[in-house]
Amino acid sequence: MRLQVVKGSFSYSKDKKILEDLNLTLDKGKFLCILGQNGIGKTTFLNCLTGILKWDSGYVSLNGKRVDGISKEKEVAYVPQARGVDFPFTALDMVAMGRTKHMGFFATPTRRDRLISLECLEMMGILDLADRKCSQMSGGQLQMVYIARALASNPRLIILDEPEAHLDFKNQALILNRLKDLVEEKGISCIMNTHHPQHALKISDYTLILGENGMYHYGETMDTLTEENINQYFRVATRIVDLKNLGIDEKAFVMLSKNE
Amino acid sequence: MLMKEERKAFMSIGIGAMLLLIMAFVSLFLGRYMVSPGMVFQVIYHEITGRTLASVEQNIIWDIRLPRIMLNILVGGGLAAAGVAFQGVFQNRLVSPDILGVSNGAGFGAALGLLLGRLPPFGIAMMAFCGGLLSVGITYAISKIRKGKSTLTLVLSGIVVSSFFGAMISYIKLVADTDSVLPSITYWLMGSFAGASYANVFFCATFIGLGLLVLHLLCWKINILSMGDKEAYALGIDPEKNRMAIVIACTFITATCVMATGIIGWIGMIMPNLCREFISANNKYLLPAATIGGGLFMVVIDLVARISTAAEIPIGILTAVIGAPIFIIVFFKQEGEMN
Repeated sequence: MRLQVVKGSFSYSKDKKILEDLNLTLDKGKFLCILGQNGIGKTTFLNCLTGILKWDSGYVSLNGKRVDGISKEKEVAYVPQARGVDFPFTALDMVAMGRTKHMGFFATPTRRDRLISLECLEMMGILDLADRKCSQMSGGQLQMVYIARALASNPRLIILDEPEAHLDFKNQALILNRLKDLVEEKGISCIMNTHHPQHALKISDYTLILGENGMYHYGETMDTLTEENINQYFRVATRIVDLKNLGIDEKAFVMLSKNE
Repeated sequence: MLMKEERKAFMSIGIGAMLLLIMAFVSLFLGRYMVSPGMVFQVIYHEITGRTLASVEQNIIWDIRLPRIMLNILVGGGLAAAGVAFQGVFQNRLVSPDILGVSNGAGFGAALGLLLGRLPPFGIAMMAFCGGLLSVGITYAISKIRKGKSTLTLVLSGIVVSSFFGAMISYIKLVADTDSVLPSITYWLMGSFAGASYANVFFCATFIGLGLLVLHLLCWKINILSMGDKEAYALGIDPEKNRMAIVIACTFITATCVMATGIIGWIGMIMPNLCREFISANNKYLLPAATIGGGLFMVVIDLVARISTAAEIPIGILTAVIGAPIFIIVFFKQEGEMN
């Protein structure tokens, strides 16, 4: 599945552009992270991408075919931020909601839908939570349930809104690893918003950095996440340190204490 | 492959239905005129076989108590089911037909119909339905003016709209003819089952039944809508259209209940929350459970209203007196679970 955004533009008011002439292409089984300051338009971009907001101009295409509102497509699933749930649905009910696109208009989940839902819970390693009420779960558990719900629709592309926000260290790692597995083992493409350049560097193939007035930078993560770009887009003096000398195959972002 | 919660739901619905039958039967022989249980069987047997007993017992049980109990079940169940669906589609556990202003809106429509007089058949019912739809529309519109969804905004705009239509009802009472129209409006608005008849039961069964059927068919959509519009959209359903269909069905049910028995509060908020906490949040089970629970609650309350004092207590007073403490208990239990 190949996703393209062609000349996407969006603004809430005339004098402030949020997104302008944004182009990107994402191939099957690739991971895209979106970075940017608070309020710069990361969530706006996701909303335009999924079709909740309408582009002012430009469009999104799947496999070369123009689509209005891709989250309505069967191949696309959306994972919202795991805020608290008011209604005490069980995890199984919640995941079964992901089957809705495959169900008839008046239908409720069939035995098959429920089996698929249980499989998805197992895939996320939370089968033991199937009977637990979502209103009594921790943030990490709930986020896993949401991802399982996305998987239940058997998607080729999953779009996530800050899945690791508000999670502790261990749960952040858990979520990122599960997502990485999905991309590598199942060939599912992922697009996710994040506040952590470190996370983008760790798991993504491509990175989109959004800046003010519709400015953006899109490319392979290795080429995009440079000291220069971080300094420019986040206005924080940063050094990227290669940890190879310490025997760790990763890079670390170090924020220098003096800003600008 | 039945999960723990589903077994619990099936059992609760079964037990609820049995309790409802038992309480309905008890209500047939309890009252200020006591009838022995055996006599109740005799009367029912004779009616079914077509040999009507021309006795006081026959009159009390078959012509007065039985339609009244049937109406209890229909109205109680209808209001509870409408509450379940309203709470789901507005993603808000504090709303109900009366809080959203639907009850007062429907009441206003019906009162206006009575005032105008000489309407075609079902004219008053149509007025009640339109009044209910208008009020829930206004409530929802007001709550949308303020950006950023909050639970309280919807409740507050509901209260505003509700009291507006309450005032309009008062105005109609003021200008109504004191000899003919005013007594009928006042008497009906107090919320009473005393006027139950088979014609009434038939009217309610048809329209509440239709509404319940629609809600049941759309029960999975109510689940999805309770996740919020953005998620509903991403899960593949059109939130506005589906919500509209469900709100119309709920308003249909509420307007019918208001037509039949006046404005009865509380039940549409308490029953959904009780059943959601103790049985299931999945509307496939929650809707039938709350319908049965609402019917049972209403049968019991109406029984108390009939037998506790010499003069019958208006039903609205009792639902509030019993409903408010239940609500507080549930509310605190929920808070405790969260911490």
